[in-house]
Amino acid sequence: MLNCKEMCEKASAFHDEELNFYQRMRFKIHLLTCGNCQQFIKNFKLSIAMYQRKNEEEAKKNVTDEKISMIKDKLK
Amino acid sequence: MSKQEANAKIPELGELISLYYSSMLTVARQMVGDSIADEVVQEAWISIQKSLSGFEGRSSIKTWIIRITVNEAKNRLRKESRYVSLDPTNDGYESPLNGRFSAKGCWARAANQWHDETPEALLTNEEMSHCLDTKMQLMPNMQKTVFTLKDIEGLSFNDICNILELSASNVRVLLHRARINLFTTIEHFQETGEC
Ligand SMILES: [Zn+2]
Repeated sequence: MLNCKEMCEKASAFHDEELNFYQRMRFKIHLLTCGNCQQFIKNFKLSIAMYQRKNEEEAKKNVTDEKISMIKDKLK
Repeated sequence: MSKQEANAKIPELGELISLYYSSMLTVARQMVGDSIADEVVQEAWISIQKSLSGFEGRSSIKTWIIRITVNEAKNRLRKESRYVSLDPTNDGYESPLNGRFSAKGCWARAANQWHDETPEALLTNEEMSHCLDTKMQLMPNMQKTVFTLKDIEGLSFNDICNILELSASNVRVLLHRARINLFTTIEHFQETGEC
């Protein structure tokens, strides 16, 4: 049985779907029985999703038509 | 397929700029900082313009463009002696989660439910957003580069290993450290209201 510390160490492999069938089963069995780890994985995934969203919004602001045409002009 | 046919599949430079400028800027900012990221991106476009006709399609064009951007950023860091390529995981790292577990590996101080429970709700907090920018800047260079390539730009582990010349296991270790860093920063802010 995995302990909670090991669950944290494997959180990225779980998120990236890199665990094999048996590792994934062990991970999910622990999750079913441990509210603390459920909360941790929820917050962990939420952190990543939040940062992705933040970046999308900032990218939209940073990339203006002016900036793009400035680059195009310099390459001519 | 003739060379002419292959060439016909390469988008025009102007189209590439519209499509990938944003990704290039994101990667360059994480690697060299905001103040010289624009220059690095500009230099990368010059390289892309020079070698576009030789693009062989062995990787996706996005991966190829990001590789060139990363190389320009690396060159810049080398010139300024800021580039560290030796084993980036051998740096005496200690997880910020150490101390959260009992000797048996059970949670001693468990994760709590956050006040904001969706990415949108979390994002409405501008102070926290600034805090994340500051903390990201403080992350070791390779750690934030791997994180940006994987979680923001969505590159495969394989492409990231090749572009950064890192082993498969080091890339995974760095990515996990970056995500734990991100998580603990948000958690701290949610619990204390401070950065
Ligand atoms: Zn647990």
